[in-house]
Amino acid sequence: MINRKENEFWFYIDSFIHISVKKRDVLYYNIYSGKIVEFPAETNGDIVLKLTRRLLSPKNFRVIRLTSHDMEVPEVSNFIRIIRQHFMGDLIDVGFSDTKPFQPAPNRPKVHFDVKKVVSDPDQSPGKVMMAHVFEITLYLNGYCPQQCMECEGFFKQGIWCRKGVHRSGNVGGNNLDISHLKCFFHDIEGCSLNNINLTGGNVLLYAYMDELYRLLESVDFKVQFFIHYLNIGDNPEPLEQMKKSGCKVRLLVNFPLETDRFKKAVELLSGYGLSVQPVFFVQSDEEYSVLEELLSGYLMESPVFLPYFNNHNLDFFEKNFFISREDIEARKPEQRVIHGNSKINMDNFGKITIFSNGRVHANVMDPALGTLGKDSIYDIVYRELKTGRSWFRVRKNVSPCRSCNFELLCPSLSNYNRIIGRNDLCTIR
Amino acid sequence: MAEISTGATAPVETIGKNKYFYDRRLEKVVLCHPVLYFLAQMKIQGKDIAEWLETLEDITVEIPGSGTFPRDEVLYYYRKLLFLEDAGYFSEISQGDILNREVTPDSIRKTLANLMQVTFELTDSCQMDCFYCGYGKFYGDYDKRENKHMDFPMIKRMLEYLNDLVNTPLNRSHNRPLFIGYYGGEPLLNFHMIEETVNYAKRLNWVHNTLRFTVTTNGLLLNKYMDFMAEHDFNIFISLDGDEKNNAYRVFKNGNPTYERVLSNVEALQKKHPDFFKQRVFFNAVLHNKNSVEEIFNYFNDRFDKKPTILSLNTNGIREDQADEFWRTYVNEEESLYNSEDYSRIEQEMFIKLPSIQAVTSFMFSSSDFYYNDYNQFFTIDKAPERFPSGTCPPFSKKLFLTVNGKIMACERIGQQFELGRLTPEGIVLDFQEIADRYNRWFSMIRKQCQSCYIFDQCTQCIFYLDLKDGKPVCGNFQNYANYSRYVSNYLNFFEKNPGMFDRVVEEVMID
Repeated sequence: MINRKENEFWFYIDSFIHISVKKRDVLYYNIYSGKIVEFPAETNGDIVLKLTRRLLSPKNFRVIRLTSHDMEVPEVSNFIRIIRQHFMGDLIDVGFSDTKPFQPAPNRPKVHFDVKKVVSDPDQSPGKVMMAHVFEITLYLNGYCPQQCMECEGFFKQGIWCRKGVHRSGNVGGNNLDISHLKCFFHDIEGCSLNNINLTGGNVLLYAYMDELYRLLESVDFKVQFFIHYLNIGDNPEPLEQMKKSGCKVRLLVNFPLETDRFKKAVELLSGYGLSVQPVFFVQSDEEYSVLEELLSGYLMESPVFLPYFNNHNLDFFEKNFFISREDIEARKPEQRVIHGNSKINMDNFGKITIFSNGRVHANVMDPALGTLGKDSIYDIVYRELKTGRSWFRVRKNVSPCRSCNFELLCPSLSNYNRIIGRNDLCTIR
Repeated sequence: MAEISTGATAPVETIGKNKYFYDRRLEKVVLCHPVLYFLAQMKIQGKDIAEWLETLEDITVEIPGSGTFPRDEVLYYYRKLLFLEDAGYFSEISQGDILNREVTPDSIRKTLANLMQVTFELTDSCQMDCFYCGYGKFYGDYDKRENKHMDFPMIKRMLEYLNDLVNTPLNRSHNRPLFIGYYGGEPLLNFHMIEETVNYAKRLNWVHNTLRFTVTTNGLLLNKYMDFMAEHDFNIFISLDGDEKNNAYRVFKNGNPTYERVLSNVEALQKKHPDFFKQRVFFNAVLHNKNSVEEIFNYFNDRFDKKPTILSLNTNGIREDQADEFWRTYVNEEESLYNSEDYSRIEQEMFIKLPSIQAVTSFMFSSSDFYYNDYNQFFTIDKAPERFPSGTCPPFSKKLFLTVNGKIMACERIGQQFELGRLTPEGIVLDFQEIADRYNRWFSMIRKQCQSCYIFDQCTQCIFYLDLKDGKPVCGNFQNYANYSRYVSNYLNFFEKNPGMFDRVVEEVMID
């Protein structure tokens, strides 16, 4: 029996509340309602900070004892009032129970098979779990493309996009991804947890070993999508017929300057073959977006995707439309698994690899290659990423200024936009 | 499939009188004010809370067992209840749909291609005649012991068969160890077969795996063969129940004690290969009425600086005519622990080797939303995929066990009547379709019980251990709503009493 004094209470924070403390500022976030409540030190002094630190102490499990005397302090009573108002916690009279309650809500998630740790431990082996971490593979099947897109060397870094290949000799244009290497690769990934395979080029329709590729695709049950630039949709029906037969989807890549007639023709042609087409647009300004809105108003097609493209001169376009605000986060209501995920991995990059037509394999196209198809086994390549963690483990807690921001785990993962623009805080939160 | 569902939220009250509810779908424990708890109970019982609230006329409300509360407070907790309901609490779990998974020939092939251990029963012969032996007088579910030895062609055939399978692309290992285990009888009685197998296996090409070896021994021949086992980095599991008195059931065929001989061999091993002893030697101690958890712990801790695995006597397959004597010999591990003078120290030291900690750990790992099997689960919205009824391991997911008579089993711990295949002089008879059909038939016999069991997703009950009633298995671990509530309460009781253990479990424990 607890030695109870008069008017004592257990004050607790519910297990579905995310709490963050940075410097002297405190944030409470209700994962069910999306409500964020901040207690900056400059307006609350240290009282909320001290109470929060007590709640987060490993020995307290988010439950602390308060007396009615404690609660006479206006800052304390106000804090408790706000917490209760937003269903973030409560007070329970100590007299209702004989022992201190317990709330199983550790500050960090526990990952039982933490493959990052496992690959660093010489006594353990990542085993089959390692390959189970690859979800999506993007293959650049060839490098040749007749188009002259000004931003060719920029697009593929900001979204899954075609790109003229670089030959081993260094010449632009280049090679076809070696089909024998591809066969071995498909052999090796049999039984993996892959969800998606993205196929692009160059002009992927000109890939030299397309027939053999389709035979390989027959044996897999992943979602296969072709990423084709609209200017490369020509009159040759053969590749499109094959595509239709294989049940693949097409993502039609479109950027400005836009040749409207050719875009319309490409859509008509693809639709004529009964292919499922989803256009993907790189947009660099509000004006471009308006043009697209008008253009698309006459089409019935799978929801188009608009990707912002940073061209070094349109930061204001990004600030206006894509910088994350506190309201955005409240509206998105990141779930607990996302918050937990953000603490461990880059939720956007994790599990994705890209293979260029010269065989070079990257976890992220902006990071150095992890190996080469045909020379290195896919196991070793994945092992390298897990071990060095350049892309899959790029998390905000390791970068400034996010590491000292209470929204660190609530914001989306770091992306290539952060690297290209040169800012980790593409937000209006601070 | 009939719609069979169970309520996801269970009210839980601890010995310390704290009130919670636990939601199995959201995997969350919610601490409750008594009023919220009362309303949650009403909700779970299907009562109309809104209607009840309308009947309240006074400014205070009597909550049974908790006292009187202002009406506004009750309304506040009603709003909180609705908020939680909106967040997904108090839903139903469609167990009828979840427990539909079936074993397929393909899944068996894949599992075998990713095999973690193959264990050979090298002989059914043993120098000892342990009172409680799993192949002794208490049990009736094993083949007759005929002092047989396994021969090399038999082992070779099995290794070649497995080598072919694990080298296929179906194997997703990357240098993961594949253990070759030796079991008996006393496997060291057939030592030259160990020697031959190790040398042969090491010559085979293992594309995806590294090879490791493991042996379970009574220790009587350790002195003769320890150098070979140290050289090949074996894991050695020595069966020893404690000091001379504790070890009294482990005797030679003539009834003489084995303790002194085993001890002398273990000490010789420790002296000659101290690092190997520290890293690779483990002890299994059987708990019975001549020892206790405390005595076992103290013995191994003081003498070898080791923490043994304490095993209870297997309570399955007991012969009816031996039941009385068996139960006189049997000791419950938890009771023995609680009778220890220095209970808390043993709990701290033995930690995850104790059943009490294993139980709360198991609950925590399978039923907490902060626990993830791997990074993939950060992307998984639905954590309730289809599963097999019961907690039976899918065939060969832990190991493949080959008996001295050529029976292929899923494990050495289940009755030998449950053979899955045969190794014969002509080859290996392992029909994946037939195995799948047999498992699915067994699962179909238990599925209905599992569909209404509240612990179905944390079940560890092996179907091969179940008692039969009218030819059908009956699960003794079935949990109805009330039992489940008590089950969760045990978990919370433990941590209310031992809050310091929580972080230790989170940080230190990994489950194989």
